Formats: sequence, C-alpha cells, structure tokens
Amino acid sequence: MSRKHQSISQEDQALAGYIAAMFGNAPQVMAAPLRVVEATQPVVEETEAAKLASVRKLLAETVVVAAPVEAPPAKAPAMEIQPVAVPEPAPVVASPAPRAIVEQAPIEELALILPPERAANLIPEWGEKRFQTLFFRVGPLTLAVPLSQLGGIFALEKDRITSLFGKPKWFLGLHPYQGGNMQIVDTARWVMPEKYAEVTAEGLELDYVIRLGDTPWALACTQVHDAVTLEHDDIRWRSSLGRRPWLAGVVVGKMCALLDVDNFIFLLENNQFENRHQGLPVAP
Amino acid sequence: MSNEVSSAARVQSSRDDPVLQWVTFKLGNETYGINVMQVQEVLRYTEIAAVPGAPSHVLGIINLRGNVVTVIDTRMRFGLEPSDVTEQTRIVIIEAEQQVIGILVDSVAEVVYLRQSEIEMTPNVGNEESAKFIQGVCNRDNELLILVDLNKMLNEQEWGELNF
Repeated sequence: MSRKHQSISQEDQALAGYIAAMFGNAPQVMAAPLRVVEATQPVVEETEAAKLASVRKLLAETVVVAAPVEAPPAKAPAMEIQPVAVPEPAPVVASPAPRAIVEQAPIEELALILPPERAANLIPEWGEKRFQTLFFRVGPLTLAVPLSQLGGIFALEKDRITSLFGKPKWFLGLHPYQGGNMQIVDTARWVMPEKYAEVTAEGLELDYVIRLGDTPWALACTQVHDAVTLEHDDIRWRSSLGRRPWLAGVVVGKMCALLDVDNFIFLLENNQFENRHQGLPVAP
Repeated sequence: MSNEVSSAARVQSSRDDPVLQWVTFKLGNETYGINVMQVQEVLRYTEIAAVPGAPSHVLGIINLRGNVVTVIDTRMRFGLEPSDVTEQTRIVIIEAEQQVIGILVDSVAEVVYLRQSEIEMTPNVGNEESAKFIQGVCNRDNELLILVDLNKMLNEQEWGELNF
C-alpha cells in the first residue's frame, strides 16, 4: 500500500471515529490529527464512497421509530456578524447524500434533555433549503455552523477571560464584549468530553470565539475557515436526536458535524451538559 | 482614599438603583468583591493555629484581641489551587450568619461603589456548590469583578461547625 493510501486510510479511521463518537455509537479511538493528503482521483472517489457508507451505517444505527409528533414553528434569529470578515461563500462540490428518512426520536428518552416540542424538530428550519455555513476548527475537529444562526466571530483575548470558581471545566469564563460579557465555552470539552485528551493532545490555541445567535454564549475555536453555501442534500441529517441534540447532521462533502445552534443554546441555557453526558465518561 | 472619593462622586444612588460598596480582594488573577457592610477589619497575615479535626476548609484560628476567630481557606473553598503566603496576604475579618470569621486572601485592593443595575448575573451552569457563592459580576475599569455572597460561602451545618 502506498503512503498516500495509508494516510487516507488513517484519515478515514479518524473520521469514522469522530463521527461515531459524535453520534454516540461504538467507542472508537480517534486517530492523530488529520493530515492534508494529495490523492489521485480514483482514491478520492473510493474514499468518499467509504466515508458515505460509514456515515450511512452510523446514522442508520441511530434511527428509532416512534409515533410522529407535530413540529412546532421554528424560530430563525437574525444574523449579525461584524468584527471578523468571513470569506465570500463558494459553492460546495460534494457527492449528494440520499435524504434521510425523518423518523421521530423517542420523546421519553429525551425528556431530561429537550422538551417534546423541541425534540420533534429533527431538521432545523434553516436546513430545509440552501443555507450558508461557516466551517471552523477546534484542534483536529472541524465543525460547521449555519451563518444565519451566528451572532459574530471575535478574536479571543485569553488574558481577558475571567474564570469563575465553581463552574464546570467546559465553561472557560467571561470575556468582555460591547459593555457586557460573552460566556465562553470550551467547545472540545463540551462537544466531545470523552475524547478531550485526544482532541487536545497537541495543545489548543483558542484564538477565536463564535457567538451563538444573539445570546452571550460563544464557542472557542482554534481556526475559522471559509463559508460555503450548502444545499439540503449536502447534509446527512440526523434521524434521531440521541444524546447529542446539538448535532444537526454531517456535512458529507467535508465529513464534519453540523451544529444545531438553537438546541446548543437550549442545552447551555438549561444547564443540560451533565444530563446529556450522564453515564458517559467525561475528561478529568 | 482618593479613589473612593472619585468613585463616590461618579456614582449617585437612587431608590430604584441603590449604590453598594464592595471591598475588593485578589485570589490568583481574579478580583472579588464582598459587601463592605460585612467587613469588620483587614489584618496582615498572622500565625494561624491549626485545629485538630477541623473541616478541610478551615485553616485554623487566630487570637483577635482576646477573641478566637476561625479563618477559612478561601482558595480551597473556591476550588482554587493553594498559594504561598506573601507580603500582600491578608485576613479579612467579616461578619456573616451572625458569626465573625476570617477569610484568607492574596491581597486586598480597594473599596468600590457599584450600582445595583451594574451587577450582572452569571450563567447557571454546572452543579458545584461553590458556584452559589457568586452573587454576580460587574465590569469595572476593564476588569471583571466577581461579587461573592459571604452568607452562602458555607452551608448551615458548616456555619455551625465553626465554633471551636
């Protein structure tokens, strides 16, 4: 096997582990940080097919059939991005994934996490049609977030973060912002506490924060990447909420998690981190 | 003292938005504030006599003009790493829950005046008991002040255990 093939295989392993961990499936160990590999066309096609198969398998495992529940009207907060310029959106070239069959998650399983009306919303309103997405990284993790749900991107001045005693480790503290304070979330610790040591193995330089909607909550990240326009079919949408209702789906072309910002905010504001991770290993 | 005067001049109290005075102190990199009405005096560090069998958050006792005063390990109570005693270390004598105790702090800074409306709530996250000590936060001179509710620093049983 050539070195390129080996690298791509490692990348696949890492992605599979990442996605599996995101969806709360089999505990696979996350591989070392991803490397950029120049691959030949046939290899890329084969890899993407494998990725798709892996994602489909993982998503299929999360499907739970239950009685349909009427979805409530979803809210769409206005976007206001100012301080950091976001690159012009570019069309995404990605293999369209088959649209997920939307089935209802068991309400009783989510009773501790989300109220029923929110749990019924598997595909967010913004995902019903074409939408702009911003990609960002937290160490080796790439995450995507719909631009319409963002309140802004800001440079993080670490020495201006005030930590508060008695708060959980995923809460980095308060950062001054326009006369008030942003509440900074250690994204890696919140999103994947069970893999935190691996995600941060090479250190995390948290240089930016992404504000969620018009709330004071902001996610710390290491890099902010490009913004692209995605179609509904570019996403492998969740078929149930599972333990991670903040995960709207997977951007198939980039093989990264797409955040459901409304649910993310809901979990933060309702102090649901501990409930969400009940029974799961959490990083010290 | 000039700081106090200028702060007082800047901040005018009103019935709807009262002004409160806070004594600020440092623990590590952060600045904390406690209600000035609860502060009796500030002492330089003095020998603290350990008390066998005392709870872990109790450093020991001191003799304050003939009275025995229990000193709390504030760093431990706030879940912070221990630190060495320095020239700046102080014992702040406070009154809370009808008891007089001392709290050990890295240094005492000043008295500040804050309007009630300037105090912001902190996010209700996590399940740690100690998070309840935080009454709010306030931005002041490019610094965030963490306001501590001394009455909640110990629970009822812990307050009861302080009499040696």
